Amino acid sequence: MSLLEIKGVEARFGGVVALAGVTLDIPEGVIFGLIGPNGAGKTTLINVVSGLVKPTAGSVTFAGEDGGPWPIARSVSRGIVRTFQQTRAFLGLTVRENLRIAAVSSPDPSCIEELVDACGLGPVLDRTAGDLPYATLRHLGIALALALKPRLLLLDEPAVGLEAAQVERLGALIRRWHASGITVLLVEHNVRFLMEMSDRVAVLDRGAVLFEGTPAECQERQEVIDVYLGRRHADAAH
Amino acid sequence: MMLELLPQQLANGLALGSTYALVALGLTLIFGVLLIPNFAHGEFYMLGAFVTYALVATGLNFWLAMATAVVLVVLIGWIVDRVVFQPVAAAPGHDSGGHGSGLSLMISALAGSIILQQLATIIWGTEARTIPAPMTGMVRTSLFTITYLQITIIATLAVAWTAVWLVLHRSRLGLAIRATSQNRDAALLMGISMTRVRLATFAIGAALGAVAGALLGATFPIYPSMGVNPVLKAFVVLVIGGIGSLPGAIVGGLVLGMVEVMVAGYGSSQFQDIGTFLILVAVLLIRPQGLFGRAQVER
Amino acid sequence: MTGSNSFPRTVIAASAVFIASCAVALQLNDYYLYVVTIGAIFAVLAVSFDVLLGYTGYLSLAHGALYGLGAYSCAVLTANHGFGFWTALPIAGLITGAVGAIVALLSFRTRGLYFAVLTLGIGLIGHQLFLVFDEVTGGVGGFVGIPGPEQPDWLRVSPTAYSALLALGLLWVTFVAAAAFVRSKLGAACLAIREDITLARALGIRVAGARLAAFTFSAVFAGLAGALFASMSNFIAPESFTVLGTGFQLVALVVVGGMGTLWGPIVGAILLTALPEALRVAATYSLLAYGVLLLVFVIFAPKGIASLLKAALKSFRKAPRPAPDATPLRREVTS
Repeated sequence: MSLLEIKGVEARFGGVVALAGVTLDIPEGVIFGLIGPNGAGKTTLINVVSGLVKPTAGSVTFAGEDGGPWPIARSVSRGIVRTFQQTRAFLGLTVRENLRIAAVSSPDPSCIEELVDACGLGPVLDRTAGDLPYATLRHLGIALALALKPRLLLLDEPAVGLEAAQVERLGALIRRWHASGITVLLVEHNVRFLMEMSDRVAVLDRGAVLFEGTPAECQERQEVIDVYLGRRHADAAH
Repeated sequence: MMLELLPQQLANGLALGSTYALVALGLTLIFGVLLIPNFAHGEFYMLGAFVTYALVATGLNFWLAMATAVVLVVLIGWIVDRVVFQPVAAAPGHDSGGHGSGLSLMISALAGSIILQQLATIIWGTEARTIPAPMTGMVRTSLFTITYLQITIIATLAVAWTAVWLVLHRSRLGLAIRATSQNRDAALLMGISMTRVRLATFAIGAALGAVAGALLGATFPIYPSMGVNPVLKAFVVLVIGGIGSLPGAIVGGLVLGMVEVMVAGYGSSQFQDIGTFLILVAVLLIRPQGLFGRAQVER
Repeated sequence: MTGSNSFPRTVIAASAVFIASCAVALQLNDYYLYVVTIGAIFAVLAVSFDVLLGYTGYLSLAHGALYGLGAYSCAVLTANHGFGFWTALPIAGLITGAVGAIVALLSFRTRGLYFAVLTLGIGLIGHQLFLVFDEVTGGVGGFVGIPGPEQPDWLRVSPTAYSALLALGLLWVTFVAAAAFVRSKLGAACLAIREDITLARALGIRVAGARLAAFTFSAVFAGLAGALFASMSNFIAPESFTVLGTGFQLVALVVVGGMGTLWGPIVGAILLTALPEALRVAATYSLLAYGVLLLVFVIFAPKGIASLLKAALKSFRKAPRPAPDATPLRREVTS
């Protein structure tokens, strides 16, 4: 059964069409990968689903409930939680304070202890977030989102800028939480990482869904290869 | 009621509005180009009036005194930028977002404003003074009477506006200033010298404020805290006219001047200032970003 | 997941300091008692103002007028309507809190510079209203004959000493209330708003409610401080509640003392209010000193005296053992 149904979502900013009628079904319990070239509308789609940007047309159904997308606070209370592309944490505060803030709207603050272990934040609890190494900061950003006990986690390019070993640790972290019952919508430029992680994949191009299916199917489709030709080779060489 | 007074009110409003527009022009330039909320702009205006006053008191001709005051206030403007704003902009963590730059710039602007005010108080005391009017006489028509001084003020706005427009649109420096106001990072990449842009912007802004202060000081009493209301009104004008929009500053200033004179004329002068600030509150409530506000203002 | 100092320990420490300062205050002559009273009232203003400025990140210039509203409310209630001080005090706090909440609802429609300008405008309107409604407020001449706070028979101290004890007591209440506020979920939400409002929203923080609470909190205590000020002075005039007088002083107290700490603003209030009084500096020079100090701190130590003391303490403690992660100083200044 699908957890999130995106129906005909359109988003225009002035004359620019960021999303031109996107329809996607995201089944409960999957890791759903979303790829596409720059400007394809991936982040806009996350912004719409999480309630940060109002779509000009279309609707969202979540867990059988119609009437979405909801304003961001109500999305969070329904269990739709996102991370940001340029990892966002409260940079001027310590890691401990960051987690205290996440605990404010967490339905189960006791889960934070476990998160601290899983995300490797124990040794840096009293350090200022702005001083953390990049990869640790990325884990903190994800920990803040996971603290809210999401049913659907929207990850916006979590692996960008990370080294191979760090990407692997990140993948393990995502899998671990996915296994505990979280559905994940993963937007990622790193195609190899995305294909490894995802149960299903959709390709977005110029605001429309170009393809949807399993990773294996996706890699065989000519139009996807066309859209991604340069990038895939670059990533493979990586 | 009293409709026959309307042309006279309009004439008075035009003159008052012209001084508001002069102050707002400088404020909007500094804010639009450098993103500095210069609360101390009112003190440029106040110092323009007091330096003119001091020089006239030594026997200098009013116009020479005003010209000297403009030069001095431009120098003070540069010092204020160097001492008050640049160190904050350069401070560590300035661009780290969140708590961010806006708050510390506003606080340092407040500090600068208070320092200049108190220095003026120490030099000149708190009692109100007047600059002897540089010209007397007036034009009488069947509808209204307007003094030569009022005509001069309105003409000054026209001249100042033309001069600023020519600098911005017909000189290389003006191009650099406009480029900076559009996109500071891109301007830097194009090799535009931020130092020159800052100096020029502060010079123009301070000069406009000083001229307005000297001219208004020849009409109304002057005192060290005289800059507070005009700068706030200039912020109102900015909001009405749109941040960084020079025509907006002029139109907004004139409109505000006329509204105030009308409120004072037909209502009560007690409520003149309250009326202004109610307009401010109303505009901000209807359009929280200002009537023509740009998104970057929220930084 | 609380900070390093637990709430009970903070309350105990605050109580100890309160009792000690009361004991010291009772040894002072009338002039110094007056200084203590004024210093404590400004500390009340500063601590509660810091909940808004330091913890939530909003610069309000309307608080001079809110302080005045509390003062005039108390004056009118006690002098004109025969209320006792102890009834008038909470009512003044409630009135100011309610008006503050309305001001907040209006002002939070804007942000950054516009917020400051809007609250500045509201502060100026407030000050003008004190002048315009002279039938109620006494206008420029001021409000004369406000009854002092009733003193219980068993407390055999002079009225001046009683005022000082009341001011210190109000400061203790303010400090404890503020400490409870910033440790609460609302306080954490306020920090989140200050640091990154978009991320705060994305984490499901109720932004509107939290910042409204912070503003209202500061308004209530500004009203209580104003009420006490009116009652102990017996006389108030609009000049005590100007934007550039009180409103600006508050900003200076908090920034110089240390934004985002609760004891920093108290240090700021002692340094900037009590000290000039005690040294009898002319008002002009003390405002000038405020301006210069504010500028120096914004540029060189934006987190105020509190951050300097903390850094000094840390380096003092750290000196014997090698630092495990060596970035403490920069962190203090920039965070």
